[in-house]
Amino acid sequence: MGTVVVGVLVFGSAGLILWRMWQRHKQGGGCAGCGGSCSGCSGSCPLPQKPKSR
Amino acid sequence: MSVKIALAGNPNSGKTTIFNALTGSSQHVGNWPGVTVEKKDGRLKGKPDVVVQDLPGIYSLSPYTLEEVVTRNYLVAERPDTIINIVDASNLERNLYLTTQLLELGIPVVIALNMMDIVRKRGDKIDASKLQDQLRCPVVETSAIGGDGLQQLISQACELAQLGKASQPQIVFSQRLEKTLAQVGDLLETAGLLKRPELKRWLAVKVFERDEKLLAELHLSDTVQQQLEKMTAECEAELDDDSESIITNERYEYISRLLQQAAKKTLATGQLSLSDKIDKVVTNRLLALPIFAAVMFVIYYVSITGVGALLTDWANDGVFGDGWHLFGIGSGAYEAAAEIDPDADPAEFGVWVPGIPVVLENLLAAVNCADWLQSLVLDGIVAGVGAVLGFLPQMMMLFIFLAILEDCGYMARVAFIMDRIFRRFGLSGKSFIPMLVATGCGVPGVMATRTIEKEADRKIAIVTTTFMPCGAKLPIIALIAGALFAESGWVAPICYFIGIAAVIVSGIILKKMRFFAGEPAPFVMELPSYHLPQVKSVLLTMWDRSQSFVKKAGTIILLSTIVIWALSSYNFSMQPTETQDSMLADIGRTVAPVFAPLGWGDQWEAAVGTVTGLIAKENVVSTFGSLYAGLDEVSEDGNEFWAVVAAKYTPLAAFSFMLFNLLCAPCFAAIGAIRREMGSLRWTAFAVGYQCALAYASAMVFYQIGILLNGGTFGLLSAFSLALLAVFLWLLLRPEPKARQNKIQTVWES
Repeated sequence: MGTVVVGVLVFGSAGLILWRMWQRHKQGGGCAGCGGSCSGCSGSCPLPQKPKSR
Repeated sequence: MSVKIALAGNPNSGKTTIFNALTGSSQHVGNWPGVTVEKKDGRLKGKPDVVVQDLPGIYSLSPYTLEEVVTRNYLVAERPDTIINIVDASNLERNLYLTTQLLELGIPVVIALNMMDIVRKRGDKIDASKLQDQLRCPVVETSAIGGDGLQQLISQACELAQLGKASQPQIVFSQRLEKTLAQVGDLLETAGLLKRPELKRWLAVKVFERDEKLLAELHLSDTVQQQLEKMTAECEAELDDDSESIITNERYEYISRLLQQAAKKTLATGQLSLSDKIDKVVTNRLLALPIFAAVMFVIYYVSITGVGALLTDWANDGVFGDGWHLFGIGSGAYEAAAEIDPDADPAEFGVWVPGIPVVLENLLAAVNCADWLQSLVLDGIVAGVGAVLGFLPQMMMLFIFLAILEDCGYMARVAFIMDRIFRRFGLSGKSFIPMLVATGCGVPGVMATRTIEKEADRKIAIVTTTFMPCGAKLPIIALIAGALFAESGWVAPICYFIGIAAVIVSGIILKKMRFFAGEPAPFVMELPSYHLPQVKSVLLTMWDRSQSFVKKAGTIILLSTIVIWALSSYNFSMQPTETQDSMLADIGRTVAPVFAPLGWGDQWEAAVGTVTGLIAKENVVSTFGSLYAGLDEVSEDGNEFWAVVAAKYTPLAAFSFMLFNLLCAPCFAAIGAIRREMGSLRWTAFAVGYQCALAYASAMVFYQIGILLNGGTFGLLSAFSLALLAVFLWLLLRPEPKARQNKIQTVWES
């Protein structure tokens, strides 16, 4: 039971992080793990893909 | 109905500070010009229907620089409902030059007389009501840092936006010029070129100035063009100057008349202000560089080796180690007991707070968690993420110091000082601004190169900017400095200077290549007045950068540690195994020989760390943390991880490893930024290839010559390294492709 709970916590968190990063990437900010908090990219993705929305 | 309010003004007049105060955002504020490269939007606090836009700082509406183009296009084409013109009241004459142009756009303008606290401190006086009468628009006294006058400012701006009426253009110019401008305006109107009647005066002035960009957009017929040319030429002949200079001179004459009535200065002309006196020392031709070197040495020494190291010890040994005595309660008694009995348990003395790994280990054991999952959490995630977060105190210290230097105005002087060195080698001093930004993060650093107009100079800056040690590289520096050079305070500061040296050396080498050759772009920069750093601004900058670091540790680093743990715990048959027999070890051993000439090819963990560092540079340390976590029985004092690293590497190999990772290709996010700014895959490949080649060559030459100097035998690699050094020196010292005349102007206004 303990293994299931911890496993869900660990892999659930990892999945959530991946999903959040993907969402941010789609929105054009905070991609590639920079978290988007330094604001240097002005919310636009520094990766070559064009931001889909602002 | 949504209202758009644009913040426009000279660079470093406080636009971003006002933007942050009005919208509650935390955009980076720097006490040097050029912090805002792109337009930024935010919603007014408490009034979400009011959109506030922070525009890049500009000196005029002439499209000389990229910032001026961005701002002018926006104001003319998108037309906000109101412009808040932020004016640095301590430098009124130059700031009002832009004001006179904004007033011609036919958009309601509110003037914010910012930095009034500095004006009052100097004993100067500005009569806001007289300015208001003369300029025919509301003038509000503000102090962005203290938040004074901002409420009144925004109320006035909203009121004007609702009225939607712009002030009537003021008669600024002489009768003769006004006559020609009226003729030009009428001709444009008759020719049907006025899409908006309120832009008549602005268009007339720009057409009179022969603004190339605007003339191209207007598609004038030959007849209209000839008539306009005739009008302009007649006026030029009568006023004996070219049209652009006529407008500039008359604007300044108007401002001068205006200020005679509305402003009074205490300081006589030629008298030095406190900022000028400080600048006489810190920008002195002989003293400037030693002072800069000393300042950076002290900052890096205190942050990485001094106070920062004490805090990091606590974080590594306490929070991410066995635990710590709360406020030191009981630590004295424990130390005394440990001298008699080395096996004494610190938890039995004083107030003992167990570290995160201990708490988690107990918790996982209590819930009967499977061994493999315990290993993933403890040896993978906690060891990896903990190894990175352990350096947070050092980084916070460094960020605070750098923020203080930025906020007080010293960093702007550094750009000025560096310009002297840069231009000696044909480089533009403007390239140093992106490097200042890159000490936080390489991504905005690369993007800040947009302010460099000349394409060749911009490309050099993009290639070299990421040589500066960014926040993510600091844990690598701190790890090597702490683990192998504990007694030497020079390691951390020297990394900063290695970054600058790499920029200069690369600049010289690249500038001698045919594509990059030519005169450097002019560097015009205004030095802001010194002021005491604002606690809020310093803490905000530090928080911004630290938060980004912690976010990365909790996202991309955490994910990486899971992958690294999986690869290091299983073999290719997917059977659980020891790290040394794992998939990662096999992959690492395949890659590692490439780094053998650099001195660390026998350590596959270092090769893996270098590769994972491409995802995020902190991964180098988190990989070490994960891979060396299982070998933690080396010492008993909590310093296991550092001790393992120290035992595995010679100082020469460790420094070579650090050198390579400082200079080689940056993380994927920064490579993406390079691709975007270069606009081509070929140039991106050139940049990354150059960075990797320089890193490899530098680390190899350093290691091989280091071995020779330490009594090693002369071999093939030593000969190759010496040859490489010779080629390097030739590239550096060979004559320039053509004689270059330095026509750089560095305008120093304070």
